[in-house]
Amino acid sequence: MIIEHLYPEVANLYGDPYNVEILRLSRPDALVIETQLAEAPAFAVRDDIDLVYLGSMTEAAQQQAADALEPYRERIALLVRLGKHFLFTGNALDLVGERVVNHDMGYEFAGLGFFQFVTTLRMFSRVHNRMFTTVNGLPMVGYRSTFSYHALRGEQRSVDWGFGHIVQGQGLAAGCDEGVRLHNLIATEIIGPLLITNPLFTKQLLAVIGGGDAPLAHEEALLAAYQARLAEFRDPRRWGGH
Amino acid sequence: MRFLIALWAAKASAVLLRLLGRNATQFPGALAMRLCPGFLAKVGKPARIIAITGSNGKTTTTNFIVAALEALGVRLLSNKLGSNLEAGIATSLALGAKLTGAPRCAVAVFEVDERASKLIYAHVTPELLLITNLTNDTIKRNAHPSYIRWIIEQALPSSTKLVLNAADPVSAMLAVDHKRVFFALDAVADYRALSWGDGVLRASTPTGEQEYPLIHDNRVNVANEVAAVAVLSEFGVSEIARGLAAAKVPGSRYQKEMISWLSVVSMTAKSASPPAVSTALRYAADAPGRKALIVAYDDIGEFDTGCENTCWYYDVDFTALTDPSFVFIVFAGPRHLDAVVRALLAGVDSALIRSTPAEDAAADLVKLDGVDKLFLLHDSPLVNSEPIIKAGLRRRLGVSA
Repeated sequence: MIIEHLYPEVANLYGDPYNVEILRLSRPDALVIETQLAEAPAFAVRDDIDLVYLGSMTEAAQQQAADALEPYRERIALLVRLGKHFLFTGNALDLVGERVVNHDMGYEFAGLGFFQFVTTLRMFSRVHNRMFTTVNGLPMVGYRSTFSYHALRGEQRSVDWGFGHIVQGQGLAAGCDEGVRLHNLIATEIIGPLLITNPLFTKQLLAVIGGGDAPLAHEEALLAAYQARLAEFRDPRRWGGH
Repeated sequence: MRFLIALWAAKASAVLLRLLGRNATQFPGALAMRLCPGFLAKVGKPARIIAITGSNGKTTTTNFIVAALEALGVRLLSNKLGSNLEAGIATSLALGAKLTGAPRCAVAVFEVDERASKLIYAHVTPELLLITNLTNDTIKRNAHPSYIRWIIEQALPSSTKLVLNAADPVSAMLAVDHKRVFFALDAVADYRALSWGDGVLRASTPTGEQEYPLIHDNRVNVANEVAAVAVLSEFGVSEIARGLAAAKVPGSRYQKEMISWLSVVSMTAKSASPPAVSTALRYAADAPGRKALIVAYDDIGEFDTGCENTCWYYDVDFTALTDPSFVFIVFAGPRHLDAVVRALLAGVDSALIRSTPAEDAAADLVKLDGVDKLFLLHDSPLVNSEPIIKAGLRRRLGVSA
């Protein structure tokens, strides 16, 4: 199993790098390629990458990552059509939309354009949510903490390319699911080590990227923490109910 | 007239709150700003203002600076016991003003919350601004350090001279067009610690090598002391060593006590602040002897206000807990299971770990056989973990409160 971790020198906020670390610890024979901004990605020249990962980053790093990925847009599109797995977390999601606009800091730039939404960064209106979703019926728990506000293009009111069905929390835009998915390209707004806090999803992911079905590292402890958080998320009082 | 009414109302409310035994560090200023929205602009300010901001160490360093100046006979205004937000600064200025609104003191030392920079520096111009560091901090408020740097840069008055941490890559590059000096422990800087121990801090300064009384031997507090030296020197203080002899680490941040035969060290580190917690864990690891550890950063009282996102654990250096001098570790609080996962991923032996959601159970859970010292690492004294756990230890060891 080969995992490519994109731009870990800048895309390293909120513990996101531990999404790769839990895979590495769980499958010690996996090869993890760390690609720096100044390097060509391994996926550009190799067909055997099983998962490409990109995590949360600063606003400046978002622009750098967009610049670094732009030359490989067609290659990524091809790999996505072929069913290769990509996982983008936190504000890396913004990069798969059409455009990122930041009036507060005075810039905008183009995204990869795989999905028809525009991101506006509101630097004085950071938003936080608990996220409780299901992915193929599997409960997912996590948190969103972002400056990013997404708007669907044109007349769209909803989309069929969401990643997680909302149980509680806020989707990509009003009426939308959480995150986006195109074949096996997944982008989620959940920040932090979601592959640690959602071990059942991680086991599913490992199974489909060639990691087999062996237990995760410290699986028992991961499951105990997941079940505890899930029980809290299922309690309506956590969401303002009674 | 509106301003004077607001000023007098603030002063009167402070008197009333004190008579009622309540804290008067926030409300009087908030009231003044409500009655007169331009209050902060209109109230008289001391001629010379020092501001201290940063992710970690600002309260401690403010205390050092204030203690030193007061010991040297400087009459000053400060918010060291109060809020570092806009209303807290307004409270300090209101209470420090005459009935006419003119300032009673010529000097002020203000701790300023980084996020409040825009609101405060629009009306309060520091002569010196110390930025202790800009590091990962509460995700909800602060996002990431580069964002906070941008916030401060937007707000910074052009005349303010900066005192910056040379070892911090984020704040060291802040507002490069401003006048600045640097302090550091381990980097090239105008004010640099050369050595510390046996009660003495030796530092290089622009006027040569100097010795100061060592306030505390924790590396973080040594850095805070060097920062205080830099600020006092740039402010023109000549007897810095004599002033710093009066400075102490706030008791709420670091306490040692004996509970029966057990030496207990309790240390505050701001929950959700990875560098602060990393430093506390490392300090405990480096202390001599065989140690037990109780970690209680997420207080049950915070359960409904968002302590549940434990992303920040993954920016903490938990490898300090693999030090063989730790013979037992208890994680207590509502997020104990997440803390256990983090510790295991850092390589801590699962046989050494116990956890409990209830702080009051931690004292009974910790094994004390063969232990020389117990470290209790907890969040701000505003929450209750520390007294609950200490009460449990006293009960277990048969000591009356």
